[in-house]
Amino acid sequence: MTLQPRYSRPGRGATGASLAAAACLLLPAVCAAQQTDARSQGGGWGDYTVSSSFETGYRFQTVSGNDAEYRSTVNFGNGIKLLDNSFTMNSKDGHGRWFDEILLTTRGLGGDPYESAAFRVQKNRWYRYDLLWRRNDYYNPGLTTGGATGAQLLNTGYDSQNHDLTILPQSKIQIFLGYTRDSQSGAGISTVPGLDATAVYSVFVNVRRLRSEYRVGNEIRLHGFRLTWTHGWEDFKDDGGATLNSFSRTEPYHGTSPYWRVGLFYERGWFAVNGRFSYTAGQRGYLLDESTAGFNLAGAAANRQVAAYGTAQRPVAAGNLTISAQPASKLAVVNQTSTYNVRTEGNSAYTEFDNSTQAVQYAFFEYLGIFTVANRTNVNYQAKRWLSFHGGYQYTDRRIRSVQQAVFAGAPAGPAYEQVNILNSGLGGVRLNALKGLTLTAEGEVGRTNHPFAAKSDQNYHTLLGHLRYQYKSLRLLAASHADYNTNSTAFTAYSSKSRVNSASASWAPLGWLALDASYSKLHLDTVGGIAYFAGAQLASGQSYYIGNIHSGSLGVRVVLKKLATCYLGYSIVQDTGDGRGNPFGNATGSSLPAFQAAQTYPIRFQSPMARVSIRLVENVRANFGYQRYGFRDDFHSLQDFGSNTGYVSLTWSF
Amino acid sequence: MALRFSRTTDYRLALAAILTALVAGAQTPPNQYVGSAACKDCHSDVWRTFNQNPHFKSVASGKEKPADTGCEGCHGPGDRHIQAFGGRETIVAFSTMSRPQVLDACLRCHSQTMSRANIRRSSHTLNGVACTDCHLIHGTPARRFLLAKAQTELCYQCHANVRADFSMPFKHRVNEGFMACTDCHNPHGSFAPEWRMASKPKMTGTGAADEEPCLKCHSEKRGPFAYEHPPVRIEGCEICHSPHGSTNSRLLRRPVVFTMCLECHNGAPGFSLRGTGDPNPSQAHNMTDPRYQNCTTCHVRIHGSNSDSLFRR
Repeated sequence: MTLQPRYSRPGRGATGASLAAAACLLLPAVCAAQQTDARSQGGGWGDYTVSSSFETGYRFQTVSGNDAEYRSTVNFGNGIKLLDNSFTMNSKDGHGRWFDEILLTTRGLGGDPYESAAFRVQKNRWYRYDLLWRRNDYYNPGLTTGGATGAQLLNTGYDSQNHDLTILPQSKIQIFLGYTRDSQSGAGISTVPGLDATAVYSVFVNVRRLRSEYRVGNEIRLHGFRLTWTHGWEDFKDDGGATLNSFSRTEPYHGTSPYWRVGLFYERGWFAVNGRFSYTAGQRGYLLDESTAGFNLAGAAANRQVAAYGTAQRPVAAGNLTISAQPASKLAVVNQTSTYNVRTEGNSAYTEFDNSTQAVQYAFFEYLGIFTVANRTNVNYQAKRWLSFHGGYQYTDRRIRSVQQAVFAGAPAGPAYEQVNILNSGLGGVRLNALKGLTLTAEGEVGRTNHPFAAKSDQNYHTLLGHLRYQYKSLRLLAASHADYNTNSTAFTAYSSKSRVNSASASWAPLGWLALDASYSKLHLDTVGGIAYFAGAQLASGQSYYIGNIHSGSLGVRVVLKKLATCYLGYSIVQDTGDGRGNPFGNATGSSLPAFQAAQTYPIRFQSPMARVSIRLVENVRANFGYQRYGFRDDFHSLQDFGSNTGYVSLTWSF
Repeated sequence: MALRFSRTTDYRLALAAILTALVAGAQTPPNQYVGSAACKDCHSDVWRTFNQNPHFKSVASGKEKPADTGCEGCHGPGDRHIQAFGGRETIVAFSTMSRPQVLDACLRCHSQTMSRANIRRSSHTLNGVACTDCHLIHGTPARRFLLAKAQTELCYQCHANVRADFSMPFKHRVNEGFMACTDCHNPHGSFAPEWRMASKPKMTGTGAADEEPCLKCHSEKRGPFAYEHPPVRIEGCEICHSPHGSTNSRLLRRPVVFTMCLECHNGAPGFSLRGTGDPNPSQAHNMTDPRYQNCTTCHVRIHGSNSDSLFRR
């Protein structure tokens, strides 16, 4: 939780630069992005008001320890960046010739791993256009491919752009047009099949994925009804493949998912109805052409050819209808019915030809259908001005059907399997405003399902939630507790999971130039599950036992020294203390299975002190200095540890 | 006998009623709309930047009713406020309003979009969160949506446990500014998720096919595939992943992959598509050997595959 010091508002003498600096301090030091944009009062330019703020600087980092782990968790690099930028133009009278507002904000441009830009231009009553562009460089430790150097190459980039145009945005009849383009490229992980039985070997391949979405829609408001519809086309292409010395694979995977979405909303007095209905006709065509040649483990020459092709469809029909009524001023009843019907089906052929055995294998498409109907009713009753109750009941019926489909004449279809899972759940809660500024909330839910799909699905579960909030002037205190319990046991296996989160936070701005905030959270995870696996030739069975005790804390102090300087000091820490032991083996508690002894807990510590100072140089220019240290420690695997010093020096110019 | 007034009596009564009303009106004249321009003399600090405020559209339009225009669109008629030289008692002052009243005032105009169709029964509203808890209508430092602070800071105010999630070593890049809470959640209330059996999660947005919001970005995991990994489609991403953040790589719920896979793949009857249980790994997998403990090193297409029912390519 963060409170801002009581800065002067625009128009009360604060300069744009000082506001820019103050806003820049809202966030961790090296994340100069993310802070609230500074709103300078701006200056006039013709019929427009213009305000702008640029923060440019040099970002630096040093890493000791595991560089790959650093890059997968933090990933900031060196170099000159446009850390933050905002620019606005607003017409003074709301009657600009071509536009009434232009807004541009950017973050991290110049090679930061997290870059984004948002642009808006609009003319009142006529149009509004929004663009959001984002780029993220993912880096995850993958395989060790660089021999002794241990270089790891799983590094992909994700680009996303989203365009939305609304025509007649203030009218009762609006028109929407949109386009989205997401692409992913870089090195990803795949496998090469061995020439012996089922062995596969991991390799890196190029990832080339592109998703495009075009949409058009309309909203109509008439006689209290609001009707919205959108028709969209989503195209997806994945053109990954691999070529090695004696191996090649081509596997294009293309398709489109045209969809319709309709929304309906009506509200009049004590009665409201709204609904959402959608139909998506997903379709994909795929081809895999793969050949492998070489020697098997016995040293004999062998080769294998695989061809797989087909089409897959997944039509999805979903609906949601909600009826709300307020028969009395203190009573509200909401009933909601939803359906979800998805079928994954298609036709496919898979042939695998082994030259050494002259054998051919076939495989067929697996049909999967899921049909869910749910109905829930919630009642809210305000007994007193300071006391209210709510309760509800939900019934859900889910049917899952699967069958292995035949595609060749004469080939028999597999048997069909169907299962039905019914959920009955109820919830209740109370909300209390005991004192002025003090709110207490408590809620609980109990649910029972008769046929959980997986061993760790919800079966007999209950949740408890408590929330306390107190506010007095600039002091805000919050405490929350949330517990989830689930047991899902059969005669063969016993599964139970417990999750408890207790958190508290406080923020206080006792003086106009000083603000403090702190938070603490503890997450306790405790899961027992039935396990069976092979240890050599022996089938071992027993229980896994995972324990996590994750403590998180943050502390921040913000100081504003008149208009001259602002300073932020912060610290955050995440520590999983596991089950309390200091080494991976030999713990007396928990699982007795050897393979699980070392994996049932994972103590780590990730901490990050930070500081940022912003000093006014002249009226509209400030100098900023940020520093943040990241320290990661894995108690069981010290090779993962790293420490890094990151920071930046920048200038903010605003007008 | 029914009481009947003569026509003369009727006129006299009507005249008396009109005179009474006029006298009463003279004592407390009806509050009048005076236009936003009258407000700027005293509230120049608000007015000076009001052309940068989205609510300025109502002023610029010139076609809205006085009750829907500028300052008086929210604060009500200002004549009495001016006559009294200010004061909270003579104007609709949000600082004196209860949270439901604030909500009603804002929704008078802002219930018009479908994204806010569920706001009255959202968890936020039921827990007493009002519009002005997150939005600062005058002089906001945020460029968009009149947010009182950066979006993440607003959410962290009440959701300290979520702040903790995003402080984990592995997390979605929310604190870094690449993502925002509203990429996946609708703070104004959403429909209950159709893709799950229970009413959880709450206030979550959806992907294109009313599916999990994860698939908006992770579209390569959407399929359809010839071989689906059924839990992905039936139970959703959260059966294996913690979407906010985790101490484990790839946001997994367990630090070592095989422990998570084996919690289902234990052969226990009654589960899986055929009710025969998810098979435990074959004898070829010696789970005490570390090379078998990272299942997804070989089963790389664990979310679904078109060519291998064991998800190895």
